[in-house]
Amino acid sequence: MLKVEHVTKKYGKLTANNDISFNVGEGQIAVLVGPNGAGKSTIIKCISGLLRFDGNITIGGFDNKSIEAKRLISYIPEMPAVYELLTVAEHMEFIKRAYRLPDDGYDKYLLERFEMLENRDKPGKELSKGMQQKLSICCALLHKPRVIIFDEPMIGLDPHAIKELKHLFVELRDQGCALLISTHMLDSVENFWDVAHIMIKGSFAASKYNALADNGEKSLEELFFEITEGKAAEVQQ
Amino acid sequence: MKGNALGYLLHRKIHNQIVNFFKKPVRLIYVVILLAMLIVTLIGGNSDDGSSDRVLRDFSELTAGLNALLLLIFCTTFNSGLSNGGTFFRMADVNYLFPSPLNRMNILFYALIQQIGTSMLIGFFILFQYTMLHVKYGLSFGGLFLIFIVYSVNVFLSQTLAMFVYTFVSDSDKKKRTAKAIFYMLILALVAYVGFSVLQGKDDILKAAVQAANSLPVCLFPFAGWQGAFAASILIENYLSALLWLSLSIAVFLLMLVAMSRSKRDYYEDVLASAEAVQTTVDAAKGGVVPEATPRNIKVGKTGIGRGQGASVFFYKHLLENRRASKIVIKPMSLIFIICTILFAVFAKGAGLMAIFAFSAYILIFSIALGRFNRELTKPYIYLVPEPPFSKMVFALAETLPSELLESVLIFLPVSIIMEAPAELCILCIFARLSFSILFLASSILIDRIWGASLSKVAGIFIYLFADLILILPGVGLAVLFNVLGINLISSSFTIIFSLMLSNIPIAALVIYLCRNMLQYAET
Repeated sequence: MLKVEHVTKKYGKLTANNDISFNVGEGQIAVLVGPNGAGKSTIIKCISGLLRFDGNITIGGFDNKSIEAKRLISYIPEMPAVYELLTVAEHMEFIKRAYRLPDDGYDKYLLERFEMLENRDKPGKELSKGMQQKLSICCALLHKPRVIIFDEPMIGLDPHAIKELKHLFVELRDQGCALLISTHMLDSVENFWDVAHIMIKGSFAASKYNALADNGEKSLEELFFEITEGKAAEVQQ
Repeated sequence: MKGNALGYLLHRKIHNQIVNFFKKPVRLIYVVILLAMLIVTLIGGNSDDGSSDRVLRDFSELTAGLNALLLLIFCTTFNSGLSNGGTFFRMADVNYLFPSPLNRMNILFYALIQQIGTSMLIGFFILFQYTMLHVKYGLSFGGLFLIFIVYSVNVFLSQTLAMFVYTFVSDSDKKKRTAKAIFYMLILALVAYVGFSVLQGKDDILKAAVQAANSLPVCLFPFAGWQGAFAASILIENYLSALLWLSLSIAVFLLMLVAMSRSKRDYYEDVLASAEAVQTTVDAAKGGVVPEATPRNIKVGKTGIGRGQGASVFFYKHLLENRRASKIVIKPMSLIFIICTILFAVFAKGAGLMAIFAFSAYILIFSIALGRFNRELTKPYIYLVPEPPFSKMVFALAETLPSELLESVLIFLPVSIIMEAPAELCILCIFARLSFSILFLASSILIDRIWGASLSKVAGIFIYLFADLILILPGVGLAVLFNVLGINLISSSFTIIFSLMLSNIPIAALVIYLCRNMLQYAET
């Protein structure tokens, strides 16, 4: 569903992403983990079509900058994307109109699910950071995307919202969506991931598939610290 | 470590700013260019001094204009400060100085000294008016420098007074409303007085307006009036009067400081919220985000965007946001520009409508803003919405047009009456000014498209001015062509303005179309 091939992103002399390739299939959750400055947000922004890059990215077979791809993809940024002067309900109306969506009540369902319904007439400015993030997620899910990109989605959320979001990840995967989640908080992704890519200095240092059986492999956390603390020069999993 | 902590802080700040300045040679180039422009202005202004047939205008017009400018700046700055408790402090001051055992009055002085520098920077543009003021009124550079100082002090005093009043009224909405009511009544009384004086001298409106603007009731207006009277007294060499007005300003300023120091009210709390707001703005600006001055409490009113599908929803969303952002359709700065243009028409009536139109277009260069479009670029939706980028760009920019049209109407209706211009020329000026708005918007887009955030502010201004000049040229060429071909539509002014408009629209559309891919990426 999401195909990233040999993507390199440079800011002047600085290489933020270096020849990155990976896929996320339908019904799969991929996580990008890595320390601050590893290049996670950059590759996510390249995939979402916000940055220029060298290489190739396709969404459902379409070039990621095409209108067809934009219909399939959704991006939830680290900083909540909320308009200060629009109410919660108006955010949903805005997305419905911009994406030319039918009035099927899905907006109310999402607001209810994220406990935002009672705040529907509150302007974005008056929402707490956590509520803004929840609204940002609701907006991103409203057009029922097939590829969903989350950049550090748990930051600022209360425990209940985190729990709800984790349920949602699994639910969306079960519906056949491809999910890519970036985080530097390993415990936030627990065991619902299917494949994890560990990023260091703009490249993938390792990729690990979530094995159901204990086959003696290192846990994601062990592997992560081994790589990031420099205990292993080269890790092959 | 011994010594004055605040003095040390101020000294290090200034020192580091200077060091930082020399670390970036490009800034030095800007300073050299600015100085060169200033010298050209000085030489240009003096070049006509030998001419014997030069007739100077009535000097009282200049002092009247200065009073009007000072009052306008004072009232807008004071009003803004009274609404949100404008502050001289930054969050670093709040976090390090406020909890420290330093004397709070010393802290206040430290902030005031910092503010003087900022106020002087704001008034720097006045020095570039030398040519016009010297040629028209015979103003010397010393006189202009005095106006520059008075302007800067006026900005400083308006901010200080706003902070002073805010400290005493911020604890109660009723007190705030009362303070605002008194302030508005003062303005109303002043406007009524000037209006009444003008009506009484209908035979010579300009003379009556000038007399009213120089009269004692206007000069008695707190700070702005006193400063204006002080400058006028110096300029006409009435030094005793100047001393009186200066003494009044200093005495009241000192009284304010004493009142603040003796007051049991702590100004820390009052400036905290505004310091936080300033910090948010600074942080946002550093991150390339365009900060928005939204009301503290947003009045939601009628809910729902109501209209628009696909890209057009951006336009209707912007209209809704504008309604919630401010009750007044015209921004205070635009209002100042409108008044300046009308005043220019009053003073330069003999120059003809073409000169006023050129002035209004010139002012537009500095007042045009991309509005919500720039803010939209900081959110992901404009990039993610599956619509053609050109449509998104057009609808995201369209929000500025209704207010620009209204501004044009507010300028050219009174200007046409003053100039006794025919209706068709008035209508043409309104739409031609709108076409310049669109052209300058396109120019801003072009610069954003090519350089984006990589361009420094000063370089951006220079390139923007240059781009404006280039984009206007085809219109100028068309006007020349019409003239060469002997094509005259109604009048020569009409033909020139019409040809400019005729060129502006397709040029702007072409630029915007070529820049449409700006919405493909959040970077350039």
